[in-house]
Amino acid sequence: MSTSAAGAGPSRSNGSSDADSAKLAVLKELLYERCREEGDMFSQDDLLRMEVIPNRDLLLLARVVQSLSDDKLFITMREASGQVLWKWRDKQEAHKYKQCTTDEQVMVYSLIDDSGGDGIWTQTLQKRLNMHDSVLKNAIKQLQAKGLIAPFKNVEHPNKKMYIKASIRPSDRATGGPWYTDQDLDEAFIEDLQRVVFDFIKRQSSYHSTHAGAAKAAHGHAQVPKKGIIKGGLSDAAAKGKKRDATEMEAKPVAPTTAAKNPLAVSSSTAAASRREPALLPLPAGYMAYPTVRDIARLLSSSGITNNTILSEGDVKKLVDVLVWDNLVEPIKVAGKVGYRVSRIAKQSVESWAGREDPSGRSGGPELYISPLTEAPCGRCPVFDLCEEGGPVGPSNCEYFKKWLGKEIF
Amino acid sequence: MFVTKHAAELCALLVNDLYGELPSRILAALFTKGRSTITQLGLYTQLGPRQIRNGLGVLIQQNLLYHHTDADTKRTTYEANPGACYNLVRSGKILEMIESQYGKAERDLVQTLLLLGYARIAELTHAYVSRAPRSNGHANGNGVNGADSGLIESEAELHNVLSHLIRCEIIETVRPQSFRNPNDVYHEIEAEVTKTAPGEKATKTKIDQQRQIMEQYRAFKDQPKALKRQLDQFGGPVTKRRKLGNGLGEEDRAMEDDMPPLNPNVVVRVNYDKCLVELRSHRLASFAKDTLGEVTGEVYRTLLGLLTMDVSRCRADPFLGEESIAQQATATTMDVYEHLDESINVTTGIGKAPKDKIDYQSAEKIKTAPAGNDLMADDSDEDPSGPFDSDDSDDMGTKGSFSRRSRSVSKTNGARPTKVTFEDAATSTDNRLDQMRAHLLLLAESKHRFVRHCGTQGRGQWTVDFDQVMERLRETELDASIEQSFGRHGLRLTRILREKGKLDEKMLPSAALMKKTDVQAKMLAMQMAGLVDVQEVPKDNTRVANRTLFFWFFDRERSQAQILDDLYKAMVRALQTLQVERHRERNILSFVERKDVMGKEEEVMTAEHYNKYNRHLEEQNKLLGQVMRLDEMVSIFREY
Repeated sequence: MSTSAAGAGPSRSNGSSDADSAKLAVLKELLYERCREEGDMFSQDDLLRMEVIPNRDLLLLARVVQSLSDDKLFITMREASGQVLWKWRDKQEAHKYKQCTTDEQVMVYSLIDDSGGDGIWTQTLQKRLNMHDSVLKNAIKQLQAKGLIAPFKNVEHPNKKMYIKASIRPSDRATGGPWYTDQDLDEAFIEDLQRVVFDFIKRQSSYHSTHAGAAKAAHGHAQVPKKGIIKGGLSDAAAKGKKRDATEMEAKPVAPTTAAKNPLAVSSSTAAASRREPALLPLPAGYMAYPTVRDIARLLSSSGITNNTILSEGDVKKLVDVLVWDNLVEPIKVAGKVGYRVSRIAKQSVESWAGREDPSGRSGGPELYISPLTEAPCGRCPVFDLCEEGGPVGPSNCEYFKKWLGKEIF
Repeated sequence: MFVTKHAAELCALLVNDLYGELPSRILAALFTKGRSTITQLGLYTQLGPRQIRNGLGVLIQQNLLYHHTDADTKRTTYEANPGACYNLVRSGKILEMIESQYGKAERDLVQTLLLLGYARIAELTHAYVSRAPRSNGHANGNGVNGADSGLIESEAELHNVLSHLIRCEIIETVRPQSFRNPNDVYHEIEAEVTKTAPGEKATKTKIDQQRQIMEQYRAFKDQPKALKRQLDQFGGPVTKRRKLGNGLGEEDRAMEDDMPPLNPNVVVRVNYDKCLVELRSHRLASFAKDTLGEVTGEVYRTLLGLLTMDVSRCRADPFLGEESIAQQATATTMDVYEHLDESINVTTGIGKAPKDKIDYQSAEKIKTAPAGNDLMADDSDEDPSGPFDSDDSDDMGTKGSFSRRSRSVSKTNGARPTKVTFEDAATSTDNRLDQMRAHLLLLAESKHRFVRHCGTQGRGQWTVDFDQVMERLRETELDASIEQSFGRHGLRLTRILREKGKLDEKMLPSAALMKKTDVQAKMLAMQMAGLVDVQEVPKDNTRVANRTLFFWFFDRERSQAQILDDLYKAMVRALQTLQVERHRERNILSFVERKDVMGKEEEVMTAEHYNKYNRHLEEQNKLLGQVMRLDEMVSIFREY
């Protein structure tokens, strides 16, 4: 009724059009609120079914929706089948559109808005909008000045200039997940985490045998946590790990003192423990409590080493996989579940690897099998391919062999 | 055997070192030119026929050549035997192994045979009998003969030792045929069998022919063992191998007293194939020791000793195929227990865990067939019907307390305050058996698959899938050398490629958790070294770089071949460095070689010279030791 009246008499008095727009505003508000309550996406039928629009008036609905879209409260979408759907937008977000003063800005902003957490490349913007370069640049500049968008770097395309809405965080895909800090792979973080994980697996997958009182004096309580019931042991280890790692990681400049103390302690202990060194022993076959990825993830999250980065189980699996590829730990399947244990257990030291300032990174670290080939000069010779008797380098004038044999170079 | 330049160089160098320059030059010519007659050799080496004959004589005496006289043309051709040449470097190792496994007398005999190349039994008898009164006056001068050195002193003893070694396949008989290249023999047999007379129809089927070829070839291969079989018939089953390190050799040999005397005209030589089997067991045991610990390694060594008793070669003959090692030996827990050295303390070496943390079903799982390559794939079926379930868990329980007692009670891990139960000596045998079994189970569980638990008789049967274990060992060696030349990251990348096959360049950084640029730098370095390679797959025919996929891959066979050649080269260089050192110190060395100086160097030489001499000896030890270690790796990649 009223729509027909409005349609029939556009030249009616101001009063009626005021009433009309007031009614429209109410309907808008109603529909918007209903949509927010109901869900995510709506087709025309869905909107009608809400019974906000009196008499299921299609024209009125069209006006309301159009008005909502103009206010950027509704996003219009098209399904693959061709059906048109609407999505509601947050009022605050919608308000941002109002800050865009020109059409160009609105267009640019809406594209950036659509791209969400992944961001959008300037080249893509230009291609989509078909704008002149300077116009686009101007729009971007203004949007940036208003604090609506922000430039950011995507780890997958580090050389592309990308923009993202200033109000949201880049997605995991764009930042590279927990392994990236400021778009760079945080290798120090990964390395330290690997050491912590390695130490944990080593502790949990081996039997720590100390012989008699020899080791007691020097090592004392500095030793790795005892193997106990796994639950207690885990929290115990976690607490311990947290304490040590936090101090070590935070206090890097101070660390040399502790690092200097460590070798001292070790050497005195070796002196004290005349022959019977504490050693790691393999656990009997069928041992079920080898740490799983879940255990490791739990350790990492409960210890708080990762600061504010949250590692999912998948992330931890990645970390452990790398350790497996490095030949440091090995998977073992017992009773249908995959746990991890340290490789070459008989040769591993009881010291922990993490939190050491040793630049070589070897002390306390994993003991790897040394190939006889690389022990001799030839295996590491940089000119091995050239080496030939009578050539520029050869056995008769080999510097490396001289050094290896302990001869001074005269 | 495939001979690379460095392998040939190494062989020539070894021969030069041991037998002088003349044989070495001839050998080098044979390596470069292939099969030759004497006239051809004269052309290649610019030596007179007389010298060549001398040189060839030495080489043949040492089994370093194949030679063959064609029946029709009466021409004799000579061909280098690279395997035998290379084996020269192993003499020391073989002798050491013989001494530890069989005893001093056996070692002495093998040493003599190695020096002589091959010898008639009559000659050996003569040599030993004539030498008997004196103490051992060998050129090598092993002056460590005590009174009870266990050396051979009479003819009867010699024959005993000899027949013992023949029956253990360490020594084999030599026939004219032994000097023929097995490849030739095979092809000759093949030609003989498949040849049809003119007008005769080829009636035999292919399979029939193949079988015939195999039979004849096997007969050829078994020739050297004819004497062994003959001896076996007289002497019942082969006497058990002596246990490690104890000196009970006399009784062993005494049991063979009723042997028929050996035919003095039989010619014998050392069988390297069998020696390699023994060396392989040794290497595998130290591999186990390295991964799981000392005691476990010893248990493994005992098991290997039992399993390889009848294995005469490490790898199946390429012509005979799989058949020769088809029937796989197994040993029971009881067997291993009986042969385990008393002095090994099996209570140590394995940690203990609470009983409820042990899953006996998966530990005791019987695997009747060699597992596939995938570690995770095989345990999907959990059959709960393990026959050991109940009684074994009990045993393990007592074991836990037992080991606790045997070590000290004051442990850091005294979390469980349970009272130690002291067992009486009566149950200790049982305990020992169970503890040893625990070591075997540990070996079976390892990712290297040292042993396979293949049956339940005699408290469990065990076997070793040598192919698989050796593949793991090779892998370990390869990994180690990659790790040390390209760092942990290099190893990581190659291992990813090995696991996943060909991999897109873009996948690598995220899998390895490395920076893209680092990955690229590493991959390039490794590509230069020939470890990895890249395959380009263009998406369209423009073939521009950004429309192309790059797949990295790791070629295992090629890298193994490459590392083998590097090993040869490293060995050559070490030996050459030794020569350089010898040349540098030639004055002192020639002085030391004088008869009046030998044995009392310290008194005769000035302090300065004596120190220099000592330093040279140290360097020599270091270099030769290195060569031996490299040889260990060569064997892993090539022979074992």
